Amino acid sequence: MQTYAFRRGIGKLLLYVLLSLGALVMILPFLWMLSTSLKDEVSALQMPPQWIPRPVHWENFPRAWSAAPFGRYFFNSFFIAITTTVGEVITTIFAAYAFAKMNFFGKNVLFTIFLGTLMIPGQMLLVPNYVTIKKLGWYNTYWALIIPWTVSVFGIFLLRQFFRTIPDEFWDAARIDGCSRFRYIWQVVVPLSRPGIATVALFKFIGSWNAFLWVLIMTDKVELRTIPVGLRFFMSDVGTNYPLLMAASTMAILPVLLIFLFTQRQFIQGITRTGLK
Amino acid sequence: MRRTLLVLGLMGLFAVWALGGKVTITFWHAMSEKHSPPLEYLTQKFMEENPDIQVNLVYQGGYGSLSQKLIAAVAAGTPPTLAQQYENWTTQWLEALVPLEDYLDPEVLADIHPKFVEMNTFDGKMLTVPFNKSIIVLYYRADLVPEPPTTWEEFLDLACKLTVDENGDGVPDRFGTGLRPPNPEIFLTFLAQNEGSILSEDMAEVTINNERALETMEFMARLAKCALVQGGYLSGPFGDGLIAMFVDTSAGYPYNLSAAKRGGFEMKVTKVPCHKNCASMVQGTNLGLFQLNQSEEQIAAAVKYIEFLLRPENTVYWAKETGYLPVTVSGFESEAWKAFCEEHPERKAMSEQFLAGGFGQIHHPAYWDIRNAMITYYEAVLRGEMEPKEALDALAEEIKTIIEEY
Repeated sequence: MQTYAFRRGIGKLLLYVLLSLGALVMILPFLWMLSTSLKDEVSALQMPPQWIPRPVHWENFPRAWSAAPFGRYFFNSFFIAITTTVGEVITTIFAAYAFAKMNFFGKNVLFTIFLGTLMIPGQMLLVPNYVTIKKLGWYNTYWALIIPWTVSVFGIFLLRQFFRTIPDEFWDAARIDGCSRFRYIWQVVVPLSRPGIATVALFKFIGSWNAFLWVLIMTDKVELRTIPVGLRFFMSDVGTNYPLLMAASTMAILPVLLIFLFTQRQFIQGITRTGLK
Repeated sequence: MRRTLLVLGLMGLFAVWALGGKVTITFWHAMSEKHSPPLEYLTQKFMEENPDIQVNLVYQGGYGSLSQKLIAAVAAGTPPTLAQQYENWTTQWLEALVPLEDYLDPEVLADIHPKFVEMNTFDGKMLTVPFNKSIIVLYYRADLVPEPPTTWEEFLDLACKLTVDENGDGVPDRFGTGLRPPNPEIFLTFLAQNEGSILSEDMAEVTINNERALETMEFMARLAKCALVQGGYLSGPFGDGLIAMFVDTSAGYPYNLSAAKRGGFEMKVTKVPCHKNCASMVQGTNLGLFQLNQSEEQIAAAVKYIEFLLRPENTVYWAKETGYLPVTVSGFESEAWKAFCEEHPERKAMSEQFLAGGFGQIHHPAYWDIRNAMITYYEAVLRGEMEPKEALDALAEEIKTIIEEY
């Protein structure tokens, strides 16, 4: 008995050591970011890295903040990330439900075409998308930054897999009780699929938060730009101002980090349940 | 009713007064944190001088995203008034541009340095004007290189002498120089010094595998044996004390200087070692004025803005603040620039390097593909995976296919 407990203890210890090592490897880039954000340009790339900056350059943060209108960029990033996330969650739930649970003519063909669009590289679509946005009169407006991103084929695919795990008997029972399809989706399917929906939402939020090229191509006004465009400002074709870039990155990453901390349980469940790795 | 009409009328008049008098032009640029403030300063000064013109500077990320956005905008017929562009971008939209040669004041035009005029002339017409131009120079450690090399032979000799393996593990602890395969402009600089080129003058024939090119590539292969060959910026290994000297663009000066400070040694700048001549490749973009989607007033305002940027005091201010080169003869010859160069020997070296042999990229619309092909074979030679002749023959074949497709 004692040896069993002892062995289990050792196993656990090994597991924790391994996990801690893994966690350390994962967290190193963040620590480097934080440490570099407080250095000067000369010591930023020193090898081996000097983890605790001496002297500490706190002024990098206000300098980075004032190098570009980051206040506006933060507002835009938040506004666009939240609206596209809400929009995508709504469209995705309906589309995924239709593909998972309803029967209609050409369903599989349509779904294959949908998936096929994932194969087209984004760069190829850049010119046609630009022309489309211009013709719609959306250039230099929030519409261009929000509407096209409220639908995601990947999200639909992910949620469809999730919805397929819900037994059809629920719908039969609900129908006998006189429940409408719409109400069934909102009151049964959505609560059952919370981890999946949270995953879709989180992917979208992070994707939107990090979007760079689309924002740059579809807008001309500083008032419409987002944080990644601001970060690019510290890089040139011949070199990068690492301390300022890292100071701005630290500020940019905080909201995403906080959101992940609060939703990580749902996020991990969502990934494991849909079988995605 | 009458009062409403009166108010509406007044509002209309106000709108005409507020907007109608002002011409707005848009300038898409890729000048980041260090180079953006001088551009903003000059633009502000221009607008104070010309209160009827509004110049909107729009930062478009790096050159990569600027190029993508310009391609899309030209395709959609809605480019900005002005945009920074490399020669090989310009060749893709020649018809969309206003030929600046016909629009600029003849005096201003005559003042642009003849080398730059050549680089900005497409099919016999000067379309664009030089904007942020840099040149390839030699950076070296003052403590290790008391006398910088002036010829290929001296460069090779010194590079090999400075390559040392102190701990005897077979891997040098320090290399004489460094070479970066993604930067074939260094090879092109040496190629021009050996009077070679990628294509014949009429751009019909591939000359990248002739005798001169082969000699140059063989020199690069010998140099590579005493060089750290790696893909990243060389400022990193330079600061780490891994390389003693290297050939690089003058635009990288502030970053290389930071690296030298980190390494705790003095860095100096001089001309690239010469061969048959002292050629050195000019890099950086030009300024183009689009006629697509612009009114006559906008074009006139943009011409005024360009003429303003080309004034000697402004081109010198721009060069001083950013590290780029002045672009006009009067700028180079101005007392202000000469005095500045006396105080800053590295800038003097860059200036002299340009005057001694600055040349630009070839104006082939497929230049980017040619350059990419060149990187592949250049890297194979530097890493010792291919013999120079074998690599150049293969490269010549590839370039032939590329230009035939155009």
